[in-house]
Amino acid sequence: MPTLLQPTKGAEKILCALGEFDYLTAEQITRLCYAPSSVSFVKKKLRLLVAAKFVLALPRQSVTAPTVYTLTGKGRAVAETLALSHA
Amino acid sequence: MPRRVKPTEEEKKAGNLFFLRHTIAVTDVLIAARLLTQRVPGLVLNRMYLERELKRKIYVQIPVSMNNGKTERRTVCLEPDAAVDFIMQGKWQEFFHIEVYRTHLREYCFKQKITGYAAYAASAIHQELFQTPALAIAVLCSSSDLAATLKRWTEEVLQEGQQPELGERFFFTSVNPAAVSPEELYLAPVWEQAFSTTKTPLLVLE
Repeated sequence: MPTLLQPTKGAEKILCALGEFDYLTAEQITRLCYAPSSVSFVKKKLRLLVAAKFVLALPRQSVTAPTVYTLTGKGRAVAETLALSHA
Repeated sequence: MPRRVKPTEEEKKAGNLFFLRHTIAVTDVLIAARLLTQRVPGLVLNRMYLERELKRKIYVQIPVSMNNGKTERRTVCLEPDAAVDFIMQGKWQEFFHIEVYRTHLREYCFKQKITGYAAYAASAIHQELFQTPALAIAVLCSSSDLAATLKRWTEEVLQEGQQPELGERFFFTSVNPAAVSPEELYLAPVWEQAFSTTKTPLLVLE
């Protein structure tokens, strides 16, 4: 089983955005923090954050509905530390 | 103190499709506000309030007609979906409570909310809570029919309450905030105020 090394590295903006807004889609995170072409990067980072249990991917209610992401308690603690360090 | 989040709590929310879709729609309005102030020089997003920060915060007294023909005053809680507070060129301030409607709702409930907002606008409560006299209510609807209905109900409430002057505080649109640019949502004439059919921007940059 591969081990995730520093899953939050390069994902600070994503964690901060989720800390601020609570519930976001990958498309919204991209719009908020990155260029529109970065949506694949954002989805990849989100997958790593979900695997490392910093972020929860809420189950989709239909195939057309986008996945909505929110922080776990562990992710929220990191987001709050990041927010304080940027304050 | 970090907020503790249990996966099961979040999964319950995920099971509420209405809750999630509504939250995502409200967030689109807030993201547009944030992006707008990054793009327009001199426009600052002074404060932004999420729904959780506005819950059980605004209480107003409204008149309620009783079955016996008398009118009593009742305390109601206004819970906007969000709020944004802009400062323009360091001189002007605009404060909007955001209301997002994706589905049709009961006339009585909406009219009671508008009665609450009218009482709120006529009182000192807003100034005390948010430290600004600037106040408007931006109502975003999922269709032009719904926007027209909610605008008409607002006008009826203000007319019955003999407060038509408050009409300029209520803005209605059916623009989808996720589908247009922040400039189009906030600066383009895609809004209508109560008692007016003229299209107007939400923010007017002097």
